[in-house]
Amino acid sequence: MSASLVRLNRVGLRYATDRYALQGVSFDLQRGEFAYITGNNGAGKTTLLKMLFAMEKASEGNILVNNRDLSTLPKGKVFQYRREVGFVFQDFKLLPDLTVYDNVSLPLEIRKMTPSEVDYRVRGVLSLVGLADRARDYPLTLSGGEQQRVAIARSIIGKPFLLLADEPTGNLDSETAREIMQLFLEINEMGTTVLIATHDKALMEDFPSRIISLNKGRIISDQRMDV
Amino acid sequence: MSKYKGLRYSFSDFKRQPWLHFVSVMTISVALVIIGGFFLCYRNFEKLADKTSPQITGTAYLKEDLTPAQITVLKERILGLENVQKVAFKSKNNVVEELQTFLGAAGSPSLPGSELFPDVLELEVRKDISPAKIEIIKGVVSRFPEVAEVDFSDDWLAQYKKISQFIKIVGLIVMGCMIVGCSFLIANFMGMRHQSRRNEIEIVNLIGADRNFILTPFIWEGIIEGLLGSSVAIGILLFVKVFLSSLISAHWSTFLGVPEWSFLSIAQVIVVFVIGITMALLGGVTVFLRFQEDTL
Repeated sequence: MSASLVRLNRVGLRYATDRYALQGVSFDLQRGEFAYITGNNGAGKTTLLKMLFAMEKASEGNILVNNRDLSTLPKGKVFQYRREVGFVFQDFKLLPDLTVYDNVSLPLEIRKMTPSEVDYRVRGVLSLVGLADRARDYPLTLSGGEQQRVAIARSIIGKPFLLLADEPTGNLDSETAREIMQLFLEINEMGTTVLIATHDKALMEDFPSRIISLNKGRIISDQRMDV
Repeated sequence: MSKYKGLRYSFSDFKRQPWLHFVSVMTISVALVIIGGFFLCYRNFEKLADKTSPQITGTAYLKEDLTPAQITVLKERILGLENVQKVAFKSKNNVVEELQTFLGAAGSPSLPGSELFPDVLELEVRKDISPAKIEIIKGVVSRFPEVAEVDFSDDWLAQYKKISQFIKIVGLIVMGCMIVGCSFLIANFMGMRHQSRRNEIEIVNLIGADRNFILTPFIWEGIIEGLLGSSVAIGILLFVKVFLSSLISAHWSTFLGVPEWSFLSIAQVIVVFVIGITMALLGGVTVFLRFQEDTL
């Protein structure tokens, strides 16, 4: 049994055109770790996160998450895996016709939890992200930062062991971006492993942690920034 | 998603995208009006054909010198045959009289050769009898020793049955084409709808929804749309039936008599509802399957 929560072993993704989106990517993430994936546009950050979220399959190597090999994960079991892993998107991916409360409770509805349990957990997580008073509002009436908080609340309500975030501050101003990063740190302190894809160097300097740098689909550095 | 939640979510989608659902219901209604219209026409045409088809008669030419007792016994035996409704005796004198009446002044009081006419039994059979059954009656009657020859006015019946069969086949082909056409209409419409729901399906899929959770609202929507579409179609057909029957009765009653125009039978109404719900369900499930094909 591996001590790492996430283990990538020479992972590659080759398209039919023989072009590599990722090539020979190997690294481990320990439980409770906080790390960044960085690199320029087209470096392979999003592809890597998508692979970790079972949205893409590696054409080479293998990915172990919580001792589960994603390369052998059957299509019909992907939904179960996604219930254990949270994902925060740059464009939030909220359902505009549902209230904040309903958006956040959706992952629990999927798990068929009782209404009282759903209510308890939704109120708790909305308090954590500072949106307890906006529960009945609709996403489009919220600011970008607030919408991202809703998306984060939705991604952590199922108590995932791994939280992935793809450019979560990409659409936000610097002040809001810092608030969101603070929130990720709080979630990490509660025990969730967090992996964030970003190319915002300033933010990584403000919240220093391990940084895995990609360039043209390959890892070019893997280092811990000093606090 | 629980049934209740799924239903609630479907209803909320009707509120969110009323025009999309309105067009969907109307598409189903149009398809069902065409199919139900075919049922309606078929039912009434069959009834009309039955009403306007003439009585089928046959003639059994009797041998010479039969006694009245023998003729009575023969009449009873023929009347006992299946599908024979009426048997009437006509003596050769009656036959000659009828012929003279038909010929009028041209007929001589004593028609040359009239003594050659035989006594006959005239047979009336059921209107809905098939040509094959007429052949059976002909065969049985002609084998009675008292009968010299049997003749039925059945040539036209065979023609009528052939035409009726042809119309039935053409009708079924037309209906089949209409169903296929309507399915394409609905499939294209569902493609449009698929695009509008794609984002929503993608999001719930990404947060770990299983197949049932994603499908449930589509199934409820299909049932609701199918019921609404079928009800609208039945309403339109009922209006058409009432309107057309009064129109036809007012203007064509001279030719067609005063027929009782029928609406769809209970079984046909059920078929219309089943087709409507199936169409809508297929549409909804297709949206899901297309998404699954593309992404899952």
